[in-house]
Amino acid sequence: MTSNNGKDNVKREDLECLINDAAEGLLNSKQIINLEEDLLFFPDLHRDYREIMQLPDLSAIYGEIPDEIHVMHIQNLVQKAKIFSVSFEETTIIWFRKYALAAFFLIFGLTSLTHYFLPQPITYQDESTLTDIIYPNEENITDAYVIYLDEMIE
Amino acid sequence: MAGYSINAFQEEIAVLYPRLNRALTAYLAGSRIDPEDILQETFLKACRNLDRFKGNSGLYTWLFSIGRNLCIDEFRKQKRAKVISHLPIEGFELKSDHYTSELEKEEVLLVRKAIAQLPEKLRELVVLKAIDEMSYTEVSAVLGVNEQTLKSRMFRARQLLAVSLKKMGVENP
Repeated sequence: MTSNNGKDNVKREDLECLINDAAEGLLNSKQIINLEEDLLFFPDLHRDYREIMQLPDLSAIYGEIPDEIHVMHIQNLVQKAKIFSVSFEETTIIWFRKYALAAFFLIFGLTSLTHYFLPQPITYQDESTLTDIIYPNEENITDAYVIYLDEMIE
Repeated sequence: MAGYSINAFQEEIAVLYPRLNRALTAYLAGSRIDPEDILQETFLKACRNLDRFKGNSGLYTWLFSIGRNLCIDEFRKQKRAKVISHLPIEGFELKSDHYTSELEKEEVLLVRKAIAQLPEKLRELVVLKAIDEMSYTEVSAVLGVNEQTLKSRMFRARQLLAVSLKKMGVENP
């Protein structure tokens, strides 16, 4: 029984393939007669076969799109594709020529703005203040020594 | 074959573009994604990665794989399944469509909707095999599935399409 089922399954798969071939117009009249005879033993497949053979030609469901619709898109694509055909060196030179001046002004402007907005370093115009900051301790020692000498003299 | 020259690729664009446009339009039917956006992105991505194209599969097959991956990314973002089920058949009409009668128009739109409602794996197969007319070998290269499995799926897809069209009232499409 299992063996028969196995054979039936194989036969069914073969018949399904043949139905496909028939739908695609690959079978001659003799092969179609043979197929239809075989299908008599498989009523469900025979019904499928009849329905499938009645399906319209699916390749005609979507017609060719007129050329004039394509032309503009194709030209656009070819233009874009040309960009990829230019070598890296050429691209670099083209871009450099185009944007070098713009890049210079941009960098210059950004640098100036950065300089303007960032906090400025502290400047000391008074020399004594600067000395106080650089030598804070030494001055104290000198003062103390002068006071010490004055006391000694007295 | 090491890569593909950008100049050779440029020359191929005019041939590849209309075919990929038609295939992606079918693939994206019923979604809110504009095939034109995906197409542009596909070609540009291809330009950037031409050195990776080894020529094991055809150039078109490779391009479709790129486009398909971009679509999948978009589907994830937009949760496609919810959109399709509520879409009226007019949503499947294209500006470039020409019909000889209202009956023909309705039938075509219903078939488009039936295809769009197929499960993802079957839908992409129908688009590639039946609409774009790729061979099973090419489809196998795009989807990474063996040919026998593809044939089995194709049968299942046709079965479901027949059932779906019957439900839509198209008795003898």
